Amino acid sequence: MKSNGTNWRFVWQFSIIACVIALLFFCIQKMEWKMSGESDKVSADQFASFYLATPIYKLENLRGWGTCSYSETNPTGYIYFDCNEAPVLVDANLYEAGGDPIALSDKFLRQFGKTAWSLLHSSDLICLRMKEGTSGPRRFLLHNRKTQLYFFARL
Amino acid sequence: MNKSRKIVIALKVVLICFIGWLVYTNSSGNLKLSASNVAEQPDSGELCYMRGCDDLSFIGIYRKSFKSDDKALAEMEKHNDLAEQNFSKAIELIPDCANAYWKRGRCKRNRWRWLGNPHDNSAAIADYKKAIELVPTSTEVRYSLLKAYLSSGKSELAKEEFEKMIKLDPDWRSRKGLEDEMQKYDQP
Repeated sequence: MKSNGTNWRFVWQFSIIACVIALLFFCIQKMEWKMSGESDKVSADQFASFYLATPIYKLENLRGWGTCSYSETNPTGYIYFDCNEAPVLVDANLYEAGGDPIALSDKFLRQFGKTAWSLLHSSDLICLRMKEGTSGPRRFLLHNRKTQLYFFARL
Repeated sequence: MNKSRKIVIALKVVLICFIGWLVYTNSSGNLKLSASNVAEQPDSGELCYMRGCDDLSFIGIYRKSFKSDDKALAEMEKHNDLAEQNFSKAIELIPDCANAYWKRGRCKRNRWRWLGNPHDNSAAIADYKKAIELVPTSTEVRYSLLKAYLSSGKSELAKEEFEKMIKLDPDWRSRKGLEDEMQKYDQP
């Protein structure tokens, strides 16, 4: 097929090949994104066992996630759980009352939405953070004293 | 058809495919907002707060996308007002919601930035102070208060806030170039 000096057959063939190549690139990239996301992901159970000394079976409705970067041994992330008693933290003696409950609750709200609504009652919040100067990274436990729901973050 | 013309056509096709791919990936990406469109429980303070947050997110998206567009500015003002209303409602229903005071202060600061009415900045300061009254350990709110003080020329009060922030969280010293910024106000 040839008209006005344009080889339409070539154009169509090339268009199809270009589309296939673009689609292929897109699929490869999507797979890479997925793989990179999964390889670093840490489950809520694993994450909790890193930072909580309370046995996992005592933590009900444990949800959340963490990610492990190559440069750090401990995962970063957010979890929440129900617990009838105050959870025991790993290196509990390195924690103190403090931190920024407003900024933290904002982060938890972004992560967990409706589940974290109890954190909007600021006067009932109890916040523990890892002491400054400790080699450990920034770890926080946030809790509304009127509920049994605890939120833990390692930023 | 000569060889160079073929190459031109081929390049055009590749370009069109590439643009199509870009449009597809961007449209399915960032504009997903959280649960603001929930119509149930109209009197829930928490829901009002979340709606306000979503309105603020809209402003963020508009700001990134259309920096100098009048229409976008009008949209941003509209969402800012909606956010402020939602945060006010949230405060009405949850009087100890420091987050709502903080975010409402942010809305007022936004309006001050766009319209330049100093009353808005003072109103933002009042909201930040209320949030700090509820949660004295919040460095983020203190930072917002500090910025509002600097905007209204109250550098002494800003310095006081800076000291309190450093005391609460020494990491703030190096964050956001704040120490350099504060040193400017130390110079006579």
